[in-house]
Amino acid sequence: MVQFTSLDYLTIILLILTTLLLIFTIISMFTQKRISKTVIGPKIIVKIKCLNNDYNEEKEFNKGYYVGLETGKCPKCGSKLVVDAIYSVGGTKEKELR
Amino acid sequence: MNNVSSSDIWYIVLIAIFILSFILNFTDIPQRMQLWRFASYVRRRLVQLDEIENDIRRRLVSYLSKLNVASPKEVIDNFINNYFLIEPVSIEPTDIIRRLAHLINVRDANVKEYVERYIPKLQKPEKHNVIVALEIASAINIVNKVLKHYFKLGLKNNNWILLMQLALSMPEILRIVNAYSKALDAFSLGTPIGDGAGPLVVRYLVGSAEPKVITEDTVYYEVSLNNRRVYAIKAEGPGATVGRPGEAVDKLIEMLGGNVARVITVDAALRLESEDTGEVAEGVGAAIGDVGPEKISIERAVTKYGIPLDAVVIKMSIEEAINTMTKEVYDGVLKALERVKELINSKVREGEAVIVVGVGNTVGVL
Ligand SMILES: [Zn+2]
Repeated sequence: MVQFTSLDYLTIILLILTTLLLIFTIISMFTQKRISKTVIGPKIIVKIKCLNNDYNEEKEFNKGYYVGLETGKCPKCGSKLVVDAIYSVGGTKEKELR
Repeated sequence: MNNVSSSDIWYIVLIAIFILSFILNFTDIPQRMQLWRFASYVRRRLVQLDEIENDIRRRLVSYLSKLNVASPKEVIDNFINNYFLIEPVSIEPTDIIRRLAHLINVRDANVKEYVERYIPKLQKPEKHNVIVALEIASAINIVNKVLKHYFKLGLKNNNWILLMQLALSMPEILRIVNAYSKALDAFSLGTPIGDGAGPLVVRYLVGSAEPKVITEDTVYYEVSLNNRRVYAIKAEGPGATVGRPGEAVDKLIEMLGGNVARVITVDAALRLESEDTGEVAEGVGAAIGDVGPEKISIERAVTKYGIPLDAVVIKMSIEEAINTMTKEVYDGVLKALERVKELINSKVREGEAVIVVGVGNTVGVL
C-alpha cells in the first residue's frame, strides 16, 4: 500500500500542475487565431449608360472594355452608349476564425 | 514504490530545475532552438514566395504570348534584374529633386524603348499595361531575392534576431506580394484599379470634353461647372500610367498666368485598419504619393502664386489599391466627386478658374 504522507500530497500537486501545463500548451496550439479567406469568385461588372441618361445596362467584363469606351447607339434615343463604370463585386473576404 | 520516498523525488526535481534554469540563463541553447524554429518557418514561407513568383512568370508569359511576342521568357528575364535606379546624392541638398526627376524620366524612357524594341506594333494603352506587368514581375523578384539574402545571412551568422524579425514580418510581406500577384490580372485585363479613383473622379467631372495633351502621358480637359472654369488633369488613359501630374499642374498654372483660384488634388489613400474602404476625407496639401518630384512640383507651383491647395482622398487598403476597383471604392469615387463639386461651388467664385488633379493610375479609364 502506498502510504500518503504530507509530502506525497506535494508530489500529487506537482503532477497535476504539470498536466495542466501540458493541457494549456496543447490548447494554445490549436486555438491560434487563424484568418481564413473565403474566396467567392469576384465578378467584374460593366455598367453602360446612354449619354442622355435614359438607358443603362449591365454586362460582364471582357478584355477591351474601359471607362469612357463607346459601345454603340442607344436603343431609345439614338445617342452614344458609353461605359460608365467597371468594378468588381464579391471577391475575397477575410474572416477571423475564433 | 514504497521504497522511493517523496523526499527523493523532490531532490531529483530540484536538481532538474537547477540544471534547466542554468541552461536557460547561461547558455545559447534556447536561442539556438528558436533560431531553428524561426528558420524553418521562414523557409516554408520562402517556398511559398517562390511558388508565387513562378506563377507570376507563367501568367506573364501567357499574357505576352497573346500579344504575339516571339520569346516572352527572354523579354521577362532581360527586364528583371535590369532597370534599377540609383538614387541621387542627398548629402549635398541642391536640386536633388531635379536630379531625381531627371533620372526617373531617363529610366521611364529606357523602359518604354525596351518594350517597343521587343514588342513593336503595340497600341499605347497596351504598351503601358505591359510595362506595369513587367514591373510587377520585377518587384516580386527583388522582394524574393532580398528576403532570401537576409535569410541566408541570418543562418550564416547565427543571427537569431534577424531571423526572428524576418519570421515576424513574413505574413505582412506575403500579404502584399499576393496583392501584387493578383494585380497582374487587373493590368493584363485592363480593368480600372482602386488607385484609379482619382482619374475616375476627373472622368466623371469632365464628361465628354476633349482631352488636350499637356505633357508626356498626361492630358487636361477644360469644362465649365456652374460658371466656373474647371481645368481637370489626369494621366492619359486607358493604359496603365500615372502620367506626370506635377509637371502638368506647373505648366497649366504658368499657362493661365497664375490666375487660378484653387487647386484640388484627388487621390487614393491607404486606409488605417480601423477605417472603412471608400471613406472620403478632405484636407490641405498635395494628395499624391510619388517619390517626390511630382509632389514638389505641385507645391512649388501653388506656392509661387499663393494658390490654396486642397486634397480629397478616398481610403482603401493596399490590396484594393492595386487590384480591380471594388464596388466600395467605386462608391467612394462617387462621394469624392460630390465633394469636389461642393468645393468648387463653395470656394471658387463664378468666372474664376480651378484646377482639379486626378492623381493615380488610369488603367481602364479613358
Ligand atoms: Zn438614350
